[in-house]
Amino acid sequence: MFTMLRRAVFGAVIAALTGAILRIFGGDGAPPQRGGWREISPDELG
Amino acid sequence: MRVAVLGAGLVGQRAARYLRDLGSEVTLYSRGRQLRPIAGIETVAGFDPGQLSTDLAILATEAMHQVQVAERLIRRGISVVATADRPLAVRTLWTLDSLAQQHGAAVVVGAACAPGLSTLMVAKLAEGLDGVDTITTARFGTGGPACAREHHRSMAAEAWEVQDGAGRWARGGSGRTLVWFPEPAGPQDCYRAGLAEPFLLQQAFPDVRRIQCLQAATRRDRATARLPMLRPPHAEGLVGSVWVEVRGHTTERGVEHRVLAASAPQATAAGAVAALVAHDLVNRTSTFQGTRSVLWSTSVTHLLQRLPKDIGLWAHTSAIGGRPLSDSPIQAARKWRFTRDFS
Repeated sequence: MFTMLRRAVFGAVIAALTGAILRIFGGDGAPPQRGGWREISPDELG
Repeated sequence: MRVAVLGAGLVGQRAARYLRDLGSEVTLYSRGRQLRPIAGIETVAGFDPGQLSTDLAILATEAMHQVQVAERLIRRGISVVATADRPLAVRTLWTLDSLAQQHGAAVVVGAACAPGLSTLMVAKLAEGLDGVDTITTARFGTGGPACAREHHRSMAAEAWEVQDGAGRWARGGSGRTLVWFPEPAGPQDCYRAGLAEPFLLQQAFPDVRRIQCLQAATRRDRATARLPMLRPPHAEGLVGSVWVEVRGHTTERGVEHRVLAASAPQATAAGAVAALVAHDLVNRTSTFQGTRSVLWSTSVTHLLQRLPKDIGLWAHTSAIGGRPLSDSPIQAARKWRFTRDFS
């Protein structure tokens, strides 16, 4: 029982570390500072 | 004029329906399975490219299968519209130029969603610019199961891109960038991937300093990219979007920064673009012999204007509309990670 618990904790730690690494090494982002999306009609493309 | 659609997956079926609506005679061929009848479309189970009787064929089968079929059709003088989006398939189809010219056939490569719709949108944004400096595209979503498998493969593949005017390879899954797609996709992390768009864009815009094409993916997609797919692909990705950004300059207004996006399921967009291109080819709107991308069309605007209503086109109000931006900081639908003074 104790071995199973140890394995579960070990697995959770590895998963958390992997997730943290992926998150740390990703870039960040910022929302557009102004403006927004506007749907355009085909006529506006001309 | 009769058009054959080879491959009865999501893209093939939608292309066939759009062509029927455009008034073409369409035969939809599956690779073997029996198809349910579709009103106004002849359906056939199985096909042999050596026996096919048609004026033009839309290829909507698995990417590498399209290469084999295209070569056999070209040798018989049948024009081809290929929807393949795997870089190797696109590059191989591109090399069939002399064969197509020899047999008087026209081959349109990359007539799908991305490449295809994205390529058309880039060309539209580049219109009126005196020089194009940077092209960036991003896509979100997948079509059917084959498209989902291609998405998985491309995340682990080397990504081709253009940096400082020269092509280079980069690691797939790198270059995380947050892209703001229009709703319902919204903000998504996008990464480099093994995509065909940079190659086709470089053919169309050989002088552009930077071309980068990204693909939206989750962290799980990125972490498991080099493993077999952990679960079977879904039947269809119902939310899809394509985002393109062109940065260039005009002599009058200086630096211009333009952003355009389209929202539609990827299979719908791919089917529509393939159908419109095929319709223009069979109706001789403009003709050629050899291999071209969708930009062969004399009027990109006219082609975009005829997209079905279920494909929404979106402009970012801070970036398009002819307002000069040279006197203010560039505000984009994504965060700029590198800035450079172009004045």
